[in-house]
Amino acid sequence: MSPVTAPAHAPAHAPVRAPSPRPLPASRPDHLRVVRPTERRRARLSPVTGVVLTGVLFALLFAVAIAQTMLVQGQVRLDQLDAKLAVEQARYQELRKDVAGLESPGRIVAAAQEQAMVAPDELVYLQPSTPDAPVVGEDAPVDVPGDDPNAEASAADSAWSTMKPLLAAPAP
Amino acid sequence: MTPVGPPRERRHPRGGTAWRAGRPRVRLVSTLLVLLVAFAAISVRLVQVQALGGDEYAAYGASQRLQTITLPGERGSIFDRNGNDLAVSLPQRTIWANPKQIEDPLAAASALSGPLVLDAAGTAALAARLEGVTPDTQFAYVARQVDDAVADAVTDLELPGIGFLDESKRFTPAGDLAHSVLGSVDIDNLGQSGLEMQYEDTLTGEPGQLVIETDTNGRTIPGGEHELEAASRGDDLVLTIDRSMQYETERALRAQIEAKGAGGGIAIVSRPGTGEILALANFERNEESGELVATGNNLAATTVYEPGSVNKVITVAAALEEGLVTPETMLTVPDSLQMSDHLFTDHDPHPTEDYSVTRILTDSSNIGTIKLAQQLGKDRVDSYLRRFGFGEKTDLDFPNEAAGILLDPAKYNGTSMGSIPIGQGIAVTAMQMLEAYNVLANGGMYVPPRLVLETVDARGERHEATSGEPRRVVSGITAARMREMLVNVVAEGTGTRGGITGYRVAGKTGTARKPMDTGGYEDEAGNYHYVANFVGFVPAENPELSIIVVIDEPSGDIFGGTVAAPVFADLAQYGLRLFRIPPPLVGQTGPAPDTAAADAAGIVDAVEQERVRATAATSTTQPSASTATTRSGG
Repeated sequence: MSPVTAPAHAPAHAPVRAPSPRPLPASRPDHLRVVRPTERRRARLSPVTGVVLTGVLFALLFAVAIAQTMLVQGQVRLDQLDAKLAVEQARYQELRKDVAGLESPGRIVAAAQEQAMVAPDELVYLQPSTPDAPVVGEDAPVDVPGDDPNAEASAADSAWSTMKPLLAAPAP
Repeated sequence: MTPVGPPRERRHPRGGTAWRAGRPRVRLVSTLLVLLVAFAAISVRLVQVQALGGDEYAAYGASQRLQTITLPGERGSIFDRNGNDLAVSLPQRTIWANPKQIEDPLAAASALSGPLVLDAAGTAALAARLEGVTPDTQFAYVARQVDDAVADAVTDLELPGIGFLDESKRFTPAGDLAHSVLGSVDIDNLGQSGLEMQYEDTLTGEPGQLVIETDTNGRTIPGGEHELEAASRGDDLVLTIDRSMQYETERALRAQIEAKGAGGGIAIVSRPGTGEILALANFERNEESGELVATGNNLAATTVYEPGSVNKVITVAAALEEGLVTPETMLTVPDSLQMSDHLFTDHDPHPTEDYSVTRILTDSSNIGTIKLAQQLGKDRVDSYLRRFGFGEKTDLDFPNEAAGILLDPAKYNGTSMGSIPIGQGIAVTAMQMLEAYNVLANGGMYVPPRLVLETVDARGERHEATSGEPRRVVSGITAARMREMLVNVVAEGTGTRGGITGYRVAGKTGTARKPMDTGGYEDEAGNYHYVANFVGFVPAENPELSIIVVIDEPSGDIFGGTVAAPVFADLAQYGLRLFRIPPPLVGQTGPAPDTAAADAAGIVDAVEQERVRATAATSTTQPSASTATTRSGG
């Protein structure tokens, strides 16, 4: 094996020199620098992060779907209530008309006449009387044979004394 | 070095026919051009759709999603003074058709005739409507404002091209009660008469609309378009009318008209102090059938009549107010008086004698009243008639209200000063006459009448209805004197049938000849026709109710004192009970007329006796004894 010797001819091209770094431009901003290849890193998601993010995305979509469903259900319910409200309002008006018809004097008189009620031919006014004051329109007292006016008055007083506390009692 | 030779042919890989590689540049350019053209076409269409025709397409899209629902502005209700419904509007369904979607109109009409209860003619007419007026007709009414049962029955038919829409319909729950006052609306809910017409703007609501976005099933899309323009309900009217008083007024008036075989009648009940009309009834006979109907025409305000003797209070009040006489002043009164070519007479013959002014009114003396008018002179007579409200419309401003007829004094003829003071030769409405008596009830103040108490807007806020300002017509002293004289009329004069046990009633009777269309007061057969009326108020010392009753052309018994006064008494008794108006305290009242007892004992006033006898001997169409004689009276 022959020893390695220097080449007999000089290479055709001058050996390439390592490029000397270019002088930095004087105006280069200070916040910029050259990034070395070793410094470049690829951002990679870890599997756990991916699973979590997928889960979150799914949950969000599911929540949106649920919200939309609830919204639709609410709207349907609202439509149903609107329809029911309209029906009930119409029913209220109808019943109001019916009540007014039933309360009308003509209907009541007709119903009374169906039950054989009749209007009196002559009105009789009952007017309170006191012993010392004549009352306009008062008729002369009528004596009924066999009746004791004092006993009748006593019975009336008794009835009144029974009724008065009841009348004065407060409503329950 | 490789030798250079001619190029070898390239063979198809499968060893078939040789093919040329061609020129890829051409293919590329061609493809590019095609893509460019396609892209350009898409771009143009995009601009066309999005930019140029964007609005049109947006509207088209919206029309498929958006639904506009018209919200009807409900017509306001009409209540009586106690809040009872007199007129209400209810939603009803109207059935319509799209003739373009109906293939067999006759079959559809036949199917609809069942639920709609149509006869053959009605079915044929419906079929014609379903065919459409023109080939492009897309809407035709089938039946308007039907009740739910009918609408449901039509729905069950499931006919194509038949649709429904909501409309409101006017109802009067109490039937024809106060029909002439309330008036009516047409099928489009526009007021045609009465208060419905007068208060059209107040009662009518403003329609609104709801715009919503719906899906293909008609369901509202949540979060979609939703624009609500709320409908505004019309205001409610609260009337001065009392439903019960109204019913009784109509009942009593109708009964008397029927009993007397009269042609019609009017009755008004009011509260003098406020001018509130509590009841107002009008009846007239159908000209064809002769049936007595509650007319839709408010005769009390729209028609005039010659009032007769009830007008004498104006003449007497004017004479008192002018200081020409007092109630006790005596005048020499013969039983007849010639004026120009006309002989005026009192109703009952009597020797020439001295009458007090009170007696003139009590006996309803024509000649005595004419003598008072002569002292006044025609200008003052005319002035007082107008001050009492005659010759101009009342503040009711009712549709078609009449102003009455008053002659200009300059146009008075030789008999005018004889006829006008006793209520002939002038024409007034029943409302005007009642208001004139209300002046006396109100201590000389004219209080304008009113039918509407207040309006209630959609928010429930109440607004008092405007009313005219009261004005003084005569002094309080004159009014008080007149009240006492009118009490005398009822107590012992021509109006005893208007008396009420326990109360003092002031009133006046009137029996007037009706002018004929041919001119004059006689019909073609030479007969007279009469109007009997009675006006009064109660209690006389503190009037709470005033009532006028006018009976048109009663048969047989024609006098106000026997035909109209009993109705007054019935209504006054009912009103006093209904409104809980007590009799005056002892010591505040004079002797009460006990007409019931008097009648029972056969002790009727002499004047009244005469009237009753005269009634028995005459009829409504009694021949006139003399065309040149006026013998009307109370």
